[in-house]
Amino acid sequence: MATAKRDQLKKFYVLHSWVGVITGILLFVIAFTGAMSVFARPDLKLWANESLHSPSKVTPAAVERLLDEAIAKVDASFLYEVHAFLPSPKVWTNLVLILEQDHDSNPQAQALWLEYHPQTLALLKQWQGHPDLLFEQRTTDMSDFISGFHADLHLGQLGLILTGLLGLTLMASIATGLYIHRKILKELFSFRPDRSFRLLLTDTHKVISVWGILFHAMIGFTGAFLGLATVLLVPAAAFVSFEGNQEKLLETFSPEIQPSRSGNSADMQVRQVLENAFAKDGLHPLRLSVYGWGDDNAIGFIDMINDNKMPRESHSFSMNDAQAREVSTSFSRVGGVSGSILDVIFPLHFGNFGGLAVKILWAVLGISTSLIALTGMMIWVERRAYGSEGSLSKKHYLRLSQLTIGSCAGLVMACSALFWLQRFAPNQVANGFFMVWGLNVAWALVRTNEYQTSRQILGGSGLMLLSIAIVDLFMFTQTLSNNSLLSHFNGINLTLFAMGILLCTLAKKLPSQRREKLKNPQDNIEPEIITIEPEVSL
Amino acid sequence: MRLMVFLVAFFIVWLSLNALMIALNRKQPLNIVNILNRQWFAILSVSLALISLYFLHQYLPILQSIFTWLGMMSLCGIGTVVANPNSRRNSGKNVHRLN
Repeated sequence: MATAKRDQLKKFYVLHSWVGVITGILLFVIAFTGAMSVFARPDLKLWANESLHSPSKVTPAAVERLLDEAIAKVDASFLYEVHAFLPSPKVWTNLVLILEQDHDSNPQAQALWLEYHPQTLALLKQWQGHPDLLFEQRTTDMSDFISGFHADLHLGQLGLILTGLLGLTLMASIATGLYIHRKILKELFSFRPDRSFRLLLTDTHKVISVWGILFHAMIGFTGAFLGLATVLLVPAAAFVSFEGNQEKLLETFSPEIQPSRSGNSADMQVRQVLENAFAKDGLHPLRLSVYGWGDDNAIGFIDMINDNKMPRESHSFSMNDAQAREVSTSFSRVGGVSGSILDVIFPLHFGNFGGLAVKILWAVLGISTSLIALTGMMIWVERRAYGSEGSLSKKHYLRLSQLTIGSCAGLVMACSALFWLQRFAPNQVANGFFMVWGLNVAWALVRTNEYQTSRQILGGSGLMLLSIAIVDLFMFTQTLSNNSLLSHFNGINLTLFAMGILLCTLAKKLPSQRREKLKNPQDNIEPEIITIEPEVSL
Repeated sequence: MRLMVFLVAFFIVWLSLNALMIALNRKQPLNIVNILNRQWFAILSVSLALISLYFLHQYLPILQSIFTWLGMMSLCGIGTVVANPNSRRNSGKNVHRLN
């Protein structure tokens, strides 16, 4: 009986370690960029765009005037859908008006894109083309790059599937980890940094894993859902319930609906509707979409962030009299508990439900998730390169160690380089990021001492962050001001400076070479992995 | 204001976890533990944890405060253990008898 249990434990241990080593580097990449993405909007977007450093001049009256001017110049067929994306650090940098023809019944329908500066209201860009190409017109910055990279690695659907599957493997690692580590309460408090390097790694791995288990499981589950939802879950749900018609499924559950047009014309109360939305306490309007423009049944939907609730809200208004109609969320039409759970998945994953403090908490815990992947990889290599496990030569395992250091520390440097790229080569953000990352991986692979390599890369990253904060001090004249947006910008620069110091200190404290020869042979033993305990402590 | 509430709640969670560590410690002969039974520290720990949750709930809706509190507990737990490493002499013995 005991042998059978031991064998089962061993199988789970093998599964845990192989799942970890196969997905480890990718998990680090996703978790680290996720920790950075938590601040993508509004913090990094505000840092990246000088036009957002002053309060926007886009008022409800200005939106109404610009919409009237745009509508006067186009054919009436372009009024099938009218959208106004409002500038704020939360999503859109500039004011964007989009007028669309009926793309449901006409595949050749066109859309018009008009983009205005948020302070001067000058027309910056005008574009007309197929609606499928609309969002390619959007100017992107480092904040969009990093959040997109976290979501799909900039690989499109394949990337979404990869990140979704990674969420599932994270959950599998948690389940197998829980099964093989029987003395969980002891591991909750065991941290022995001054014994061997391997013990330091295993204790760090276990302490971070066990204390943050709920967070890691939540991130795994919500990440799997967000990654697989559009690629697999929606098509699967459409196949089961809507004969494969995905658009019909989305229309059924979308809170935004086309009204039945009466044919009677009416004035659109854009200014009044926006003023009503801006007047709501704790709500931040992001977008106005009007369906049935000019008709007295026209409905306007305003997408808003609510400070006091987790999911985003869509408030609908009658456009002819500006009366509020109903409030819905993305999944409120799904109904029941399922709708509520689906609604909180996105805010839970990104921690944007309780202000800056929760974001900081989520980012630090996100970094802890990435550290689990990193320490797991290092333990795997340690046990094979310097221990009894593994059948390959030490050289092969050290090569994997170099790759891990290059990929993980290199990612930190590539993320730090994003700030420099945004300031001095904003059109080369993506190319620069991958170039820096690739060079770091190559550098780590040609170096023989990976301890030195990690010190150099982390130190370099720290210097990059330190210096960009100093450069900003000289680049922008309005550095000290009562403007809250600018104070926020300065706060971000101060944080970058502090992160730079932290990385430099970490680089200085890391050992420059392996501490050879364990003083106490007992340090090598980790009995909790394979030994069978008569009672389960959880 | 919200940030201040958050910091205070974080401090209370930290106190709660320290009380929990004392309550679970059977090996180290702390005088105060001899005077006050460890069970009192366990009760103190749970009470502080609940106070911090209540404190957060004053400024955040219940669902948000629960998730925030769980996150705080995780981070504080990692911080408390890393800040109080097992020394070479007592390594692994702090909570040995728990299993």
